[in-house]
Formats: sequence, structure tokens, C-alpha cells
Amino acid sequence: MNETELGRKIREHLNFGAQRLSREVFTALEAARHRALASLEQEHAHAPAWQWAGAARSSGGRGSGLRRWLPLMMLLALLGAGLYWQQSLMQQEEDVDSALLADDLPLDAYLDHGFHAWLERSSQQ
Amino acid sequence: MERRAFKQAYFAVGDDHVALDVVQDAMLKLVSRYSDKAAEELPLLFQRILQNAIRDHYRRQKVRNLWVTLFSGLSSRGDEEDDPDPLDTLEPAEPAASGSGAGNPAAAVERMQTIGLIEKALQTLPFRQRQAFLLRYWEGLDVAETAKVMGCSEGSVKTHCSRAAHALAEALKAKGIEL
Repeated sequence: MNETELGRKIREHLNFGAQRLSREVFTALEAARHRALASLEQEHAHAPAWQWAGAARSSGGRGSGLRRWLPLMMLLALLGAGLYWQQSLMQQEEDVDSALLADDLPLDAYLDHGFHAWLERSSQQ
Repeated sequence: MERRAFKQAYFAVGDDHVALDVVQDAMLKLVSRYSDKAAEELPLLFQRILQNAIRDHYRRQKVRNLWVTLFSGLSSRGDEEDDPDPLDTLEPAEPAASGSGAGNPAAAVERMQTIGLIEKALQTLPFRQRQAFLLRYWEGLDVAETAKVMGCSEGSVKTHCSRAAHALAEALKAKGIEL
């Protein structure tokens, strides 16, 4: 007997056996099928909301555009903040330098220990 | 279809309840992931999900059996290579419906015994051989579809099927069964 013939005969026997599953197994399989179908119906019941969300996501709507541009906007905002901070630091240094040169330093500067330390250090250099 | 699925799972895991769990998981996965697919694609997808679930259970069971064997100190009987022998009982179930042998009770009993022996022989096959054989000859998939479900080459499917058929023929012959 060749492989195909053996397969065919075994198939007949297995089909016969599968038709005679115990009632308990048969009922459990039926319940499993009903559960699966019920979950499918539940899924379809929620489908409109999902479809709406999906459509908003895929159609390039307002939400989608915002989501796409948000990282870039955040990056630009960070760069801007960094530049502003650097600029203000330089401005402060320039103010101190010009005040020193014009001998127009406010009294508070001389009370600052940090300023004294910096003055001594820079005069040694 | 779910009856065949249950049997396939049962041959691999050897337990009614686990086999039912496997089939139910496969059904739910099919519904939750592929409900949008065309109806003609579903049988193959279901087979794929089912076979993956069976394989996962089978592997877990093998690892569990290995640890149990290591720690129990009991020597294995060693009459099969490395597959666990899940059941020694032959009778599949009490008849629930009338079948083709219902007219002749003796013939029906004999046929159920033959089926029991075939199922037992199937259970002793290595996992991949049994999987290939059942997909090809019970589920009626062609070689390409079987390879797709099993995730292997068509050549491997042919080899597995050939070895399975040979082993089954030998096992049934040893029991004196003529199909």
C-alpha cells in the first residue's frame, strides 16, 4: 500500500472516530465555537468607534498632523530655549565687562565673594 | 472542523482538557486577529494558529516531562524514542451518535478498536511527522499549504509524511491490523 492510499484509509478511520467524540468534549467544543462567535460579534459592535479612530489616523486628519509634527515642534522649542539661554548668558557677561571697563560696577558686585574670587583670578592671569 | 482540531491537539498533548483549551485559544485568536480576512483564507489560518498552539504546548510538556523524569528518580520505560506515551487506554469514547458501523455492533466495536490503535500509533510518532501526516491526509492540505502551516520546506513535508506513513504502516502491521 502506498503513502496516499494509507493516508486515505487512515483518514476514513479518523473521521469515523472524530464523529464519535464523547458528549462532554462535543459540548465543550460547541461552547468554544459560540464563545469565539460571540467575541466576533462584540468586536463588530465596537467596530464603528474603531473605524472612526482608524480613519482619523489614516486619513491624515487634524490629530494625525499634530502627532506627526509634535516631535519636530518640541525639538525646535528646545533649540530656541537653548539659544535664548546662551544669548542671555553672553549678554550678562558683556554687561559685566562693559561695567568693569567703564568703572560703573554696582556696589552689589563688590559684596559678591564669587566676584572677588574671579577678579583675583583674572588679575593673576 | 473543530472535532479534527481537537483530535490533532489531543494526539499531541494527550489530555482532553488541555486539547480543548488549545482549540478554544486557536478559535479566539482566529476571530480576534483575522476576522477581516476572506472566508477561504480562514481554514489555513486556523490550521496555522492551531499548529503553533499545539507546538507550544507540546514543547512545554516535553520540558516539564524532562524535569519530572530527572527529579523523580524513576527510570523511563524507554519503549518509545523520546515521545511521551500519554494514554494506555484504547477506547476513545462511548458512542454518542450512530455511525457507519451502527448496524453491526460487533463490526462497530472492531472498528473503534482499530481507530484506537491508529490513534495510539499516531501519538507515538515524532511531533513533526504526525503534524505533516495529519495536515496532508486528514486536513487535505497540499504539500505547499502544509509547508506554509508548518513553516518548513516542501521537501521536509514530503520527508516527514513518508517517514510517518512508513512508521504507521509498521506499527499497524505489528498489531496485525490490515486497513
